[in-house]
Amino acid sequence: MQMSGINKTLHKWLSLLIGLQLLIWLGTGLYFNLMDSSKASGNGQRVSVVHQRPDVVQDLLPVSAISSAAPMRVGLLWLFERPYYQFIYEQGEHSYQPKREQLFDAYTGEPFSLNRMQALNIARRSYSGDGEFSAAELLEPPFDDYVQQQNPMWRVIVKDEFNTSIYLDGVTGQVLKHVTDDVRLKELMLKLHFMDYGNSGGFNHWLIISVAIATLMLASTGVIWLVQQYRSGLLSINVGSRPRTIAVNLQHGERIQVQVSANDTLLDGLACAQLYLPSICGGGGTCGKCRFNTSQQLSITSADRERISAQDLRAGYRLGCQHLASEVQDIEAVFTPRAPRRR
Amino acid sequence: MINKVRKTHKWLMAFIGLQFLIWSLTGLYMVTMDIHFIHGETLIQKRAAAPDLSKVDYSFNALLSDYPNANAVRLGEYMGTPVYRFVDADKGKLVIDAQSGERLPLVDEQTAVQLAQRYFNGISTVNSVQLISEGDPIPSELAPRHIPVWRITFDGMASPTLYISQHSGEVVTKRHTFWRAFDWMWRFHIMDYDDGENVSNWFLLIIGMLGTVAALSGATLTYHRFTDAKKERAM
Repeated sequence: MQMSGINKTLHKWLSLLIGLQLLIWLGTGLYFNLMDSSKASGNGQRVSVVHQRPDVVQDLLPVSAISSAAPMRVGLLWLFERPYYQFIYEQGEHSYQPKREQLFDAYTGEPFSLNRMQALNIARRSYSGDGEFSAAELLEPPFDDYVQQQNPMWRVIVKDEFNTSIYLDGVTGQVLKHVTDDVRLKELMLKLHFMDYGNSGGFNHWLIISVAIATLMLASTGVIWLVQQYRSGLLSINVGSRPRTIAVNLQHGERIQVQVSANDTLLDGLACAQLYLPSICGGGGTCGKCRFNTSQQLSITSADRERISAQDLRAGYRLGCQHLASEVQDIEAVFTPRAPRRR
Repeated sequence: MINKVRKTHKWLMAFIGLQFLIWSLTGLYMVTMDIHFIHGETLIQKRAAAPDLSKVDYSFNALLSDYPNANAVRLGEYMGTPVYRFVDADKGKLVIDAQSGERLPLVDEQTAVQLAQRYFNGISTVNSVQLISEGDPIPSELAPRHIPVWRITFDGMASPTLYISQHSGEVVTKRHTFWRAFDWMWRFHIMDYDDGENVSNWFLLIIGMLGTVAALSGATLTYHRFTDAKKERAM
């Protein structure tokens, strides 16, 4: 098989293999282009939570008095007007990466964990709407609403028109996310765009890498095809239709003059004059059915070479879809009585 | 009919097919390069030094009485000494020695280089050191809120660069060639060629819609090839 034939075959099979994902990429890409990003942020009902602290703060325990393993860092945070030491033992670059931390009451040195009521209270204060709140639950990953998150989170479900769920850091109670239906739609679109069907939370996985390679090949074979078309003169832009008369010799020795548009391919031009060359592929240069013969010295395109034997090429056979009407003056062909399949 | 579909596919792709090639190339780069590597996480030593709590003579108590408006206080480590880093409502970003309670001066050039070499994961020599402060041109890869910073570039193929805050002595951001390349890939992917921040640009919209028509016509051709052509051949 010739190079151009391999190129077209590859293009065809690759399109079958990944065409659906390509359409998904285009569709979701257009979604990201058109989406209302303020809605998709989920922050429509979100307000920042300010933890008040008392005017006078004294008698905090020194950090060395806390019985704990050595931390990487110690923070001081306020919850319900009370100070807590935040001992961070392990932390990644991003907050969603696995981390280890513990709060200690800065007055007593006791380990501290938020309870349901406190988590619910913080969630309520982060919300400006008027939905009805469910109880807070401390949940372990993975989370459908926040696929990347690898740490436990508090979840509070709000009954409102947006189906809001509020997520807090499992340890500190910091408000991490308000998830609404708009956010869920965006996350679904991201999942489709990243082909993250295995819920990895990212786009560095083998499935998308292999499909991306196939897509690059699909695009490259397409570009090569276009270059071949250009070289065969089938991609030239001619404005308007220049009429041209060519002589056509029919099967039974009958000879007629046909007016065609010079910018059309011979296949299309003849079809306009109700002379139908046989064709299955409709002009792609792949089925090899639309043959005609001429005594002129016509160029041989890659599709001609692919579909017509060397002997027939020497005898003057070419494909009607590969040559412009302007190239020929006198041809011989066998036509079908009807148009090739109309759909 | 199929002829019209074929023409649509051919001519649309003749105009925007190159963008499909660009989408595939840039997309392939972005999915094959690990995002944590791209974000320079491998440029930094994994284990940050921990503060020695027994050396903390200046307590949180003392700090809060000296700086009642201190926010986001963190006790960490700086050149072997435990330090507090915080934002004071009046005085801005501060670093306080947790042994003496003294304010640390702004990081000087020599210390910045030492810090960079401690943070940097690997062995390489410092290629250039530059202070970026108020009024200086700020590179697009650096958020203005971080200045003043030391920009320290190491030798090496990917020209790794660490930005170290002059206030805190911490790495505020970092870059290398692969990240810079990734940003360009992103810009070409979303067709926003200046800062890459606007996915909602009209250029992407037009090319995306034409691209969808072109791809749908291509899908029709594929469907035709795998159904009608087979039937005809069988006849």
